[in-house]
Amino acid sequence: MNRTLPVLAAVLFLMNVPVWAEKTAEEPVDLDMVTRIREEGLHHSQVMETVRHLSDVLGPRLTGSPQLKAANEWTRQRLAGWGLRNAHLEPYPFGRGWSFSRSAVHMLKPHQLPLSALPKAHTLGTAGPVRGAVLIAKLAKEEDFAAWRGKLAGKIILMDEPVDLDHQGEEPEPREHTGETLRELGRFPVPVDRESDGSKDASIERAKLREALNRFLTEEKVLATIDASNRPWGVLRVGRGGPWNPAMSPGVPSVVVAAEQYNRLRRLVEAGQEVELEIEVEARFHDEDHMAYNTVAEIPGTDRDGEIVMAGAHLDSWHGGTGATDDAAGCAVVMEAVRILQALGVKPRRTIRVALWTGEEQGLFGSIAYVAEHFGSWSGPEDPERRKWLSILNWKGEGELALRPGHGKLSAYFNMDAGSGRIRGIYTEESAAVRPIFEAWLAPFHDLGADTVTLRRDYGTDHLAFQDVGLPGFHFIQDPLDYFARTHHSNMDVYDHLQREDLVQASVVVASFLYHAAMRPEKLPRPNPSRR
Amino acid sequence: MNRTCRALAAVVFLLSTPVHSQKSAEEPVDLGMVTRIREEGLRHSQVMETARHLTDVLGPRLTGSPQLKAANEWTRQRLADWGLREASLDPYPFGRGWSFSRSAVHMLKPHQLPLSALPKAYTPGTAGPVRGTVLVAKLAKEEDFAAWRGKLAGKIVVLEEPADARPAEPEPREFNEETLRELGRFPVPAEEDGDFRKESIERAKLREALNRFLAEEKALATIDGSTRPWGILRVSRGGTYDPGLSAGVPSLVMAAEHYKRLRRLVEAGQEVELEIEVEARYHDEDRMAYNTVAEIPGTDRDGEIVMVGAHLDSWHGATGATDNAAGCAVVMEAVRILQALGVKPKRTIRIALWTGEEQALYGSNSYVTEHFGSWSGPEDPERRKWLSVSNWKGEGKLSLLPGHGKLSAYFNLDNGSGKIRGIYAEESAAVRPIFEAWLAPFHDLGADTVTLRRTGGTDHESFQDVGLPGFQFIQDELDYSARTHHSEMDVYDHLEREPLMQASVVVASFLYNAAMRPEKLPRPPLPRPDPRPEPRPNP
Repeated sequence: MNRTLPVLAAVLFLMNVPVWAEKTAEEPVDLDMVTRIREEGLHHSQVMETVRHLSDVLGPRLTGSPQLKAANEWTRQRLAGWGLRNAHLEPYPFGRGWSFSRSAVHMLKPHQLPLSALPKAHTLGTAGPVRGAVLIAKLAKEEDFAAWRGKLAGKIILMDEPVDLDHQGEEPEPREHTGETLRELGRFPVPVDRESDGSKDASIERAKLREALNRFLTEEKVLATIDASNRPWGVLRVGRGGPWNPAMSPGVPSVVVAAEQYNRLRRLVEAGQEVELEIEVEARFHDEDHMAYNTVAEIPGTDRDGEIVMAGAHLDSWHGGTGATDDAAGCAVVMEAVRILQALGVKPRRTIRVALWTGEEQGLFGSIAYVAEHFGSWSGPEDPERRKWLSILNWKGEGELALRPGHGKLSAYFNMDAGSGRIRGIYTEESAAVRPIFEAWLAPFHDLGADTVTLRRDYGTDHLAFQDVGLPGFHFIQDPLDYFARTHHSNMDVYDHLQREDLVQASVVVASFLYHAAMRPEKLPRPNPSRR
Repeated sequence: MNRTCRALAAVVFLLSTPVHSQKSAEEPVDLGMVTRIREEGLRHSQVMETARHLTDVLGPRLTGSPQLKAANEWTRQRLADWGLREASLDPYPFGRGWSFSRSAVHMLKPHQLPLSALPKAYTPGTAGPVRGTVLVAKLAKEEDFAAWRGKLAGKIVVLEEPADARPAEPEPREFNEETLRELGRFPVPAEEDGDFRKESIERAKLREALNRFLAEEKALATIDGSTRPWGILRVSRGGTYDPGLSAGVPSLVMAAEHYKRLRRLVEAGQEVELEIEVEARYHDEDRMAYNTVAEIPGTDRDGEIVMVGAHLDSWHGATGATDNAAGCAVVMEAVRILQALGVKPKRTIRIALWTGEEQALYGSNSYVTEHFGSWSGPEDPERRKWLSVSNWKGEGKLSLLPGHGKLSAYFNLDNGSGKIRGIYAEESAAVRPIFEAWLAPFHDLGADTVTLRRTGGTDHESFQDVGLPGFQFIQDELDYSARTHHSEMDVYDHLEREPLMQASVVVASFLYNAAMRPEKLPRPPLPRPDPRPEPRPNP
């Protein structure tokens, strides 16, 4: 059936777009290899054992934390143990590490009750358990500060508006794609005018405000700040607070409280009730090593021209759960994909390289550093002020794009970072030339639910580091499951919310994509060079 | 439209069951009063303010805790302020009180991370932060103990559960026409398999044996997994409120995901160490508990009454918003509405806010015993010791007090924050047409179903158990069983304002109708003594 389908598709293409269809018809797929990949990946999978170790045993893997370095080391050894070559850690400058070991928040007045809370990353701990009265202060812009000067010492501040817990709208997406949602994803929306969106300037303003606020709170000797989780039912969604840049102010201890409990604190304070909390956060910065590391390993290619195919996922996570869906799942899948190929004794023409990035959550730092080192980079803003506040994540189009010789050697990069859902297809990032190739590669996986190729772009993860310098970097389409509704960046991002069959499926699809990209006579078509 | 509906209904009844339909057609409903009740309850509601105070300000209200006593006092005062008479606290013997003020659990090995956990009620606290290694042990029956003797000292025991406790798919949040029709169909009672009383006695004995064993073995603490996913902590009792029994060791419920992770790590041979700090205390200064009671006096002198109630007590992990501040706020609002309208009922309308419901309907049981009647209970002292008083129906003799004949009906509300969709008639075919008539003016608010089915698990059972007409309303499920029931997420934010307003006017109208009706409501047959069959041997 898999053989028949591409032929049928080719016939259909022939009827309206002959040139394109010809290419499709030519795209070779090694179905014997697909059979072997499916056999190894579906019947002898190790993906759950890998992901269990990454999440349960290694735990949260915040960039800069000792635990992430342990994860770098474990993955390096694991890949080497499977027979991959050149398994190593590639360093890049990051900043201060951070870890926390204790977090306990209790209401003392109007009565005693534990609250569910976690510290924001890169914020200060408390000096043991500290107690203070709670007040509501709006500090959303620098002009708000003056009204509060001299009034905040020793206080615990509620920073957010009450959370609107929309009972009906809490599960916005369906857990799994349907034929209809996939067809919709296949339709390409004509881009709206983004000339005036000002998103870079807005991000600079946010960064400056964060620094000003941290300095203000420190000067005012605020005891701690409290934000609300933006998920209902007690799920704690918590990311960064303070900076990893040692030159900036870490601010004051800062925790995220369950939305329901946060709303209660606000209601009590607004009703004139005296509310007192005790907060204990044990956290520390790690200044012994300001570098972070990507784990890299490869199956060497047989051709001598140095061409490579890459797959990656990010090894780092936020600190409140064990980063199971974001993104131990993706790491386990790409590791499993190369394990499958290695187990089959594949000798690829191009080198197949796997990279487990770090610093992704902070701004794709690991992949950007790697791409800059090997392929190319933007020189960035010249204005020192803009250069200081604009994250390197947003340097595309700033200054000059300089390419390295390696740029011409990379055939494709494939990324996995959308949770535990099975692969339903792939984003081609507006490459019409790549579409028929991916359609041919997906054909043997239609029966496993993967059949959609869209020209849409996807955002927010490491393939952007490649696209930003004009390299063909791609992200798979996955079923959403509970990703954005509940696990993403939350304390519930744990092993129990992974789905075995989906990760097993994804592993074989990725393995097959890597194999075919490595064996294809030509490199994949390149995206248009990026412009300012 | 409501008038038309009822006329139509009467015609339908006439065609099939003439006697039944005659009664239905006769049942008077004062639609002028319904209009006024709707106006006061839908336009000038105070139900959310009441619910907010009960939850946000008063907080968790565990039976025996100082906070529940504060809630007794606040509700008494509130009802008195609204003009109700005889607002008072009705004491009964309960046992040791308990409260907790601190709970923090941290994993120390294989790495440091806070874990989400709460202590079970009536269990001892720790002596400050204590540290121990984790082991997984199955202690599901007394025969399991021997294998662990001498091995538990200083350990944190993760109790192995028989199966994955994750519940099936949650029920739909709201009834639809089809599910309500289904609820209206009466399933012929199946033959009882097993003896639930025997099972409950065995569970009580096992709990005591386990508590003694763990205390003797000097286990540091025990941990169970929550029975709800997504980190929701569903936590109720451990330990005991009976000063004659063993309180066991510190016992906590942990988020299911965290619990399972501990088990996986231990089962994979990883060394796991935890630090646990629970600050908890017993309150032995007053072993009584109290119901809050108040009334709108009736104009007739014959002493007949109509009662309404909900339970004021809650579990301790949250603020008991849907279980059952919601019900308390609704029944309080119902009598506030009637009081605000200056209603002078023929029969006295009495409101009771029960306590001890979560432990075993103690408050309502004691009140019914005091005012209406009770079963003498088991004669065998061993059985009498272990069988909870809420299961004494059919044990010994039923003796009735003079007040038994004076109670026309008791209405209970205890199923969360969902709107009222109808009422359980508890197998009273005679009551059905009356309730159908009373519900007719509320069809447009979603309340239209009368089922002969029984429902269990809450305070109307104390009335039914002695042959009194006690009823519980049908409510939309919302997130009750799936997420809020007995969990740390049972908080004000998961209450829904419009359903609570709707429920208040329906309850107010039922109370008014029951108080003004010429006759008392039809009585259920008196329950018979239980032949107490031994359970059949396993096939």
